[in-house]
Amino acid sequence: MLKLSIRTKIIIAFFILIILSVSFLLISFPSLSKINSLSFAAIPLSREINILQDYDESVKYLANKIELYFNIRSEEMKGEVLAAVKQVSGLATQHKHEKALSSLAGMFSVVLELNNAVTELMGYMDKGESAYTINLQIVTVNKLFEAFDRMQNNLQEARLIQLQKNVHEQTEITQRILDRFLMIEIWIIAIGFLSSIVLSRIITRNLLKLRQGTQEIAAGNFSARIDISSNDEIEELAQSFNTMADHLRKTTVSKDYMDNVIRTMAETLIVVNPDLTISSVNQATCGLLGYSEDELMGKPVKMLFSTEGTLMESAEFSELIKDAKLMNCEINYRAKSGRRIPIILSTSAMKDKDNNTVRIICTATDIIERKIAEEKLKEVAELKSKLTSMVSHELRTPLAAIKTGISIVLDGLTGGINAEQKEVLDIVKTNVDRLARLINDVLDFHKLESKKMQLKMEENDIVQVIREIYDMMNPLAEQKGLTFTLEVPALLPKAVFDKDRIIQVLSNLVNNALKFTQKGSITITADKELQGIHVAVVDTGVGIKQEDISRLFHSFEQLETPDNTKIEGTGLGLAICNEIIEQHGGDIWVESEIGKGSTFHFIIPFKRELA
Amino acid sequence: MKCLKKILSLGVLSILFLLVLWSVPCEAKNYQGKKILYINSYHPGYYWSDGEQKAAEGFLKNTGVQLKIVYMDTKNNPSAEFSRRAGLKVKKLIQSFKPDVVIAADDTALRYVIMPYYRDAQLPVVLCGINWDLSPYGAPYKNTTGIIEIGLVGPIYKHLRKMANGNRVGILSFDSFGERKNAGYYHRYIDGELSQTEFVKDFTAWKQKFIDMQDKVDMLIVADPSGIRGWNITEAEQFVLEHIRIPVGTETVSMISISLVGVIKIPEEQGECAAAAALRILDGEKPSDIPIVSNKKGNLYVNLRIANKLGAIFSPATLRSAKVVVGGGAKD
Amino acid sequence: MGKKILVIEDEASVRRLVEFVFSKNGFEVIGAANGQEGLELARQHYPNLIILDLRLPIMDGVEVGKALKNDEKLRNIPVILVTASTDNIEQKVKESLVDGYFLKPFDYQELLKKVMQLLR
Repeated sequence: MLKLSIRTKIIIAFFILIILSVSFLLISFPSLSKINSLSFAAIPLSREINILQDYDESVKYLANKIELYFNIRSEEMKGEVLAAVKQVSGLATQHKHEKALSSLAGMFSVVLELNNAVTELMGYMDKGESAYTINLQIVTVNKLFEAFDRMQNNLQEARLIQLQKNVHEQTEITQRILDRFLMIEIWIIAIGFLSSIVLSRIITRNLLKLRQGTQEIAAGNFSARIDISSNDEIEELAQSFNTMADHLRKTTVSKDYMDNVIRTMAETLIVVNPDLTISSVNQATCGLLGYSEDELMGKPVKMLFSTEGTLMESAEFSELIKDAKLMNCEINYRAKSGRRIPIILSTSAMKDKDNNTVRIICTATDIIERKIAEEKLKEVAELKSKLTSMVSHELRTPLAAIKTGISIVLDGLTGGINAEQKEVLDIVKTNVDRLARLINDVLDFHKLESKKMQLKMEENDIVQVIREIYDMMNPLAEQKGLTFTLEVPALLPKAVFDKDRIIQVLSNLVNNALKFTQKGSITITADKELQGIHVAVVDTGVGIKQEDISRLFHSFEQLETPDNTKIEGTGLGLAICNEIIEQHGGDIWVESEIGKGSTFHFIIPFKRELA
Repeated sequence: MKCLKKILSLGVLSILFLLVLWSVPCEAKNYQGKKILYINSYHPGYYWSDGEQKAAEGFLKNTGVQLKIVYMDTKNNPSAEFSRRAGLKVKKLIQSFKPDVVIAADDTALRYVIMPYYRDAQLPVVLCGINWDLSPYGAPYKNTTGIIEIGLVGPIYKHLRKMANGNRVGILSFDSFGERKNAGYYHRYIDGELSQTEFVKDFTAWKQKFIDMQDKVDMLIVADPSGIRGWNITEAEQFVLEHIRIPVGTETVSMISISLVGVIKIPEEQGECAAAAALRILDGEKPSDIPIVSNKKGNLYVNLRIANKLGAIFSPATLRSAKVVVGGGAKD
Repeated sequence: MGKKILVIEDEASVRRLVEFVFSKNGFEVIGAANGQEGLELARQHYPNLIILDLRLPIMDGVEVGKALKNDEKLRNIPVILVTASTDNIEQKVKESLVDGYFLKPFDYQELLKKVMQLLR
């Protein structure tokens, strides 16, 4: 459909009316020109009629004079008759030669004849002709008068009829034009009336729709829609309103939604004015702090916070809040009851289009639970520490006694012992050592877990470390009948690592290799790579199932051997190694295949990067 | 709004149409069912009564009136007995025909039909063709109206007076009861001084009197010469031409050749007027309400030869309205 | 050789065994069960070497160590720490105050060796 503005519609309506009017004029044009031509034609007719009338008058005047003369017979009368004759002849001669009056020529000749007859008659009278002659002449004159009369009448009637016809025709045409005009006028009025009604109705109806719609929207019913399809500005307006209502609805929805969100959210939300007074707070804030919203509005926001027990100064805090520079800051709320509630506070600035801060938004999560948990953890850790130290102490002390005691006896300080006694005591000593190692492992792991282990990071030579391990472990390998070799370059760049701990790692790995390899070889390789020193312990042992690899480095995971022989150990070894290597900033991993063997790799960075 | 206009114009049109339909008959008023009996005292062929009758017939044509003519034929049978019998016959006819109006033309009809049987009757009667006066018959009755037939001496006088040197009027007439009666009525209508009335029995006397009156009066009216012993019109013409010195007028056609002017009455006027009165009666008018009139129209004759002898020059108007006679008799 | 060794160890069995070991090796061994006693005995007897446990009642090993260092007369007596704990703080102490340390359970032969070494 064309899009027509209201103005266009009105213009079109007027245009139609104008066209109708113009068409009327056009239709009437031939008629009007006909009238015009008729009018023109009527002029000579009128003239002729006038002339005829003049003649009639003059001739009748003459006839009267003659009558009078013959009744009164005075010279005066005679004079008048002659004057009348002159008048008539004057007319006749005047008109006789007019071409335009050629149709009256007949009459003119009659008139002239008449005149002559009259003149002759008067002449007879003068001459004193016989009554007979005169009477006859009078008869002749009479006849001529009659003839003239007849002719004049005929001509006049004819002209009159013509004129009448002309006028009639003109009247008819005019009538027709008037009728047409009337009809068209009626049409124009009707159309104008109708179209104005229709148009105004349409516009008004649409405006009413608009009004109703906007009223509804204003009243808050944002689902209301204005349905106008008039293809003009009003429709555009309606659409704008609809869009607006849509936005409002969405905004309201989202506003309601947002209101809901704000009301529901667990975090506290405080909106602060630039002058650090409270603009608004959410439900969570009120709930947590025990205030009502009214109690807080306009109050300085500082009253809700306490920097006690934190690393921040009160003044510093105010400044930071003002600049909305606090992010994940650990601080305390001060509740109405005075209770301090630890929170994590974040702020952000709400800026206007000129980048001025209009509000500061403060959100905080209370971390009581966390703090409590932390406390608990701390307690637990402390407890664990205490426990550990206590355990270590308590375990180690009797262990020391046992070991020393056994050693004393074994070494013969208490006298001689027989072979049986020695054997038994040897068994005891081995187990004591084992127990000691176990305790160490547990304690080590605990230390690692609580990150209490501090690494003595020093520049060390890995090659030397490997050689120490080799020296230490070789006898054990030989004992088991395994080949233990080193594939290590003579020179490797020094790296920064905790020697004791790395020794621990390596010995652990080698021990594992020894544990899980029944026949074959164990090899330690080392080389330098971009990241650091890459060390590997290769064995030809039973191998590890692919699905078990992920479990390896977890604590307390002891893998079964294929034949399910019991392997001694706490299962903490690899976990400890993992911790140690990780704390070095390195990597530890394993490659293995069932039946073929395993290779444990680790990389120590040259320098520990602070992670 | 347009519908209203349509309805309105339709209404107007239909009303107009109805009016037109209604008005048309007005033009030709319908006397359908009405009967008129026309009593012709004489017979067909008689100039005067024929003229009256024809005029009446013409007037009543297309009116829807049923017109019946009855002839009494009393010119041919002048006896009283015949007239009475004729009158009776007419009466019987009236009874059977039951006309709404009766037109009685000329004396016999009046004397032998109306007067005896319908004097003051319910039946309305229109009289015409009665000479000079109704009173001899006791008319007008309550139920009669009509037109009296008079000699048009008035107009004659007027014409003659124009040519005369005075207003003394002479009358030269045949000595009979009828003519004497006629002459008696003349003076009623002559404006001038009727100073001399002569009645003659023969032509010679006539001629004598004629010459005599040339000096005695200023104008002369010559009456119907029928009855004058030895009357010879040709001789009279010659005589008059020789001796005429004053204007002479006549109401007798045959005397035109010896008169300057003649004003001759016409029967048509009687018939028409009677018929018109009859229609008026049919319209509802009472005969007594319709005034009795007398004839006024006449044919004017001017004799140029006489005029020449007299040196009389007529006014053009007169000549226009006259039948111009050059010497001879009336040539119509 | 008549060297005097002071063992400050609250764990009786351990103390007894240590005394046993050293006495069998020709040392005179004095024992204390708590720090305070240990300090007193140190002042009293001026031992040639002190074997000190960290965890002691009344006065713990650190304090004893500090006290020993503060005491002019006792400052120069070599101290060997024998303890069950491996805490960091104690590490510090170990490094600054003592001439050697052994973690329980220790190898008595090693201890003996160290003592011999320190007394040479």
